[in-house]
Amino acid sequence: MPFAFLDRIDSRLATQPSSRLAFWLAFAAVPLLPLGLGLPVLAAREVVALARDVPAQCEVAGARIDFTHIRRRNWFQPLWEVALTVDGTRMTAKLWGTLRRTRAAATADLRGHAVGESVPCWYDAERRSGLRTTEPQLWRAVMAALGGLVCLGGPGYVGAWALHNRGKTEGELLARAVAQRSAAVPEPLAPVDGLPAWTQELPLPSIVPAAGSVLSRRLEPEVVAAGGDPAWAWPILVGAGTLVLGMVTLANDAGWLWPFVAGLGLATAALLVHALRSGQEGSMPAPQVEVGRFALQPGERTELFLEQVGPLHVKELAVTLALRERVTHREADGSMGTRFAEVKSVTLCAQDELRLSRRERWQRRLTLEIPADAMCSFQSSQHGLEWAVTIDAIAKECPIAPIRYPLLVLPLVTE
Amino acid sequence: MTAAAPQLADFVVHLDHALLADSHLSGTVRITSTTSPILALEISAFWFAAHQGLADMKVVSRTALEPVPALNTDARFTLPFPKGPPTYAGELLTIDWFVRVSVITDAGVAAADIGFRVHSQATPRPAASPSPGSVSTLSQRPS
Repeated sequence: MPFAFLDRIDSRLATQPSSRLAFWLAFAAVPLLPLGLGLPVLAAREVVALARDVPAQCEVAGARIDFTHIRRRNWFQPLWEVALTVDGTRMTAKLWGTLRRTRAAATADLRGHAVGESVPCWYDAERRSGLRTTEPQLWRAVMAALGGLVCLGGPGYVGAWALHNRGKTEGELLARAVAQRSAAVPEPLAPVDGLPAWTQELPLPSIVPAAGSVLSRRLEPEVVAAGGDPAWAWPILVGAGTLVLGMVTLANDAGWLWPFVAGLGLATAALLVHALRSGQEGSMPAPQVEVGRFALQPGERTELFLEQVGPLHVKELAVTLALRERVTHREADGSMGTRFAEVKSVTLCAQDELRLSRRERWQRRLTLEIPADAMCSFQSSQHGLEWAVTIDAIAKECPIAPIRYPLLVLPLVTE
Repeated sequence: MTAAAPQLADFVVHLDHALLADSHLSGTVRITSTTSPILALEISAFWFAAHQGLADMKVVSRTALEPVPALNTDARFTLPFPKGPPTYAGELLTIDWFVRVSVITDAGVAAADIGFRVHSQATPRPAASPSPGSVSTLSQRPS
């Protein structure tokens, strides 16, 4: 498979959603980059022509049939060379006719302009250069600039959209992966004999479809539906606008535009810093959590391995086993909302002042025990009882959004 | 545990266990009076997960007693039961179990819901003996 290396990279980045997204964004941006840089240049040329070109009458200096090879056949095209002499400076340009399938048709078209005939043309009167046979058009400049903006900002838009929908799409993909793996590897659900039929409807936790590095199952962190960070879309968008404006200014020698370019550049930098800071303060790299079993009954134990990579600096970090209620409710305005209540919490591990450099790792091997009197997991269309290993952290004075690793707690079978 | 529905028909329902951990739900029903001929007698079990009136409900088992028992005769019923989800009363969410007895007559349907608890860890204990003079209706939803 020619793209197997992409699969390998993707699976290596499976536990680092941000890096994975950055990789695919960069991958998508490569083919768009030449277009994104070329179109603003075209737009800039058109803007310059609009500002400087003046109309004139050129003389047809020569005429011939040109041909080109497209899709295994020759195509013919009339080609006239037009010339204009201004104050002793001779300028030339080419005027192309329509592509024809036969030489005869192209020859007929060639009679449209005879040598010595006058045709309209435009040139840069100040520099006495840039002779062209098409009139500069504002719409062409606008379309090229917009095209450049889309090509440069496209990966950013796609990224923002992907971040916004990550919960949904990854959830679906993981659910499929888990279903496939569960079908192939019945452990650990199978050993629970006599499990009531209704438990088959319980949601399986998200597990990475590969064994962990220490224990047999690596849990996937729950993705919050609104986890997309639109803060990144703005620097990309404003940065693309700055680039386009800068190129237009450069090509047009329009010095009065430089303050605007500088202002946009500063705004881009500020937005970038804001996005970086909000990314660092509001979140932390999801630790790797591995368990011996992810489906347990009350009173059962399993091993839990946790590995946190740097860079990270938190004042407090706590690992808990928690049960929360999830209910759907109707707001006063009639819209539907979701509410949560944590009803059980068992601290598995707590750490004060954790500071990790980029190369450091913080590892813990713990025992996870489901309380003997615990209620099992439950899910209906509106409500649910959800067990999870939860990582809570406080960075500086700001609590970081908890990272949840769902588990499945099955009812105790007494028979 | 017993219940009575005094509308189109009066009947007494007795569940063998008020707290269930078994794979079968059993009991007796006795129709004491009716205003119209009885066409059918249906018994179903369902759970009800609710938060502030927004509820999910699932009927897990249903049966029709045939032939329709005569008046003042105890008719025994057994429903296959999935043993869960367990009854639950949390901060926001409750999960309750009910047996619904529906007496379908020419003039309409008389129905009553009788609550019971499900706990997969508990040992079943017998329900209180039926006493028609002082029946308790936990939940009544005449249709």
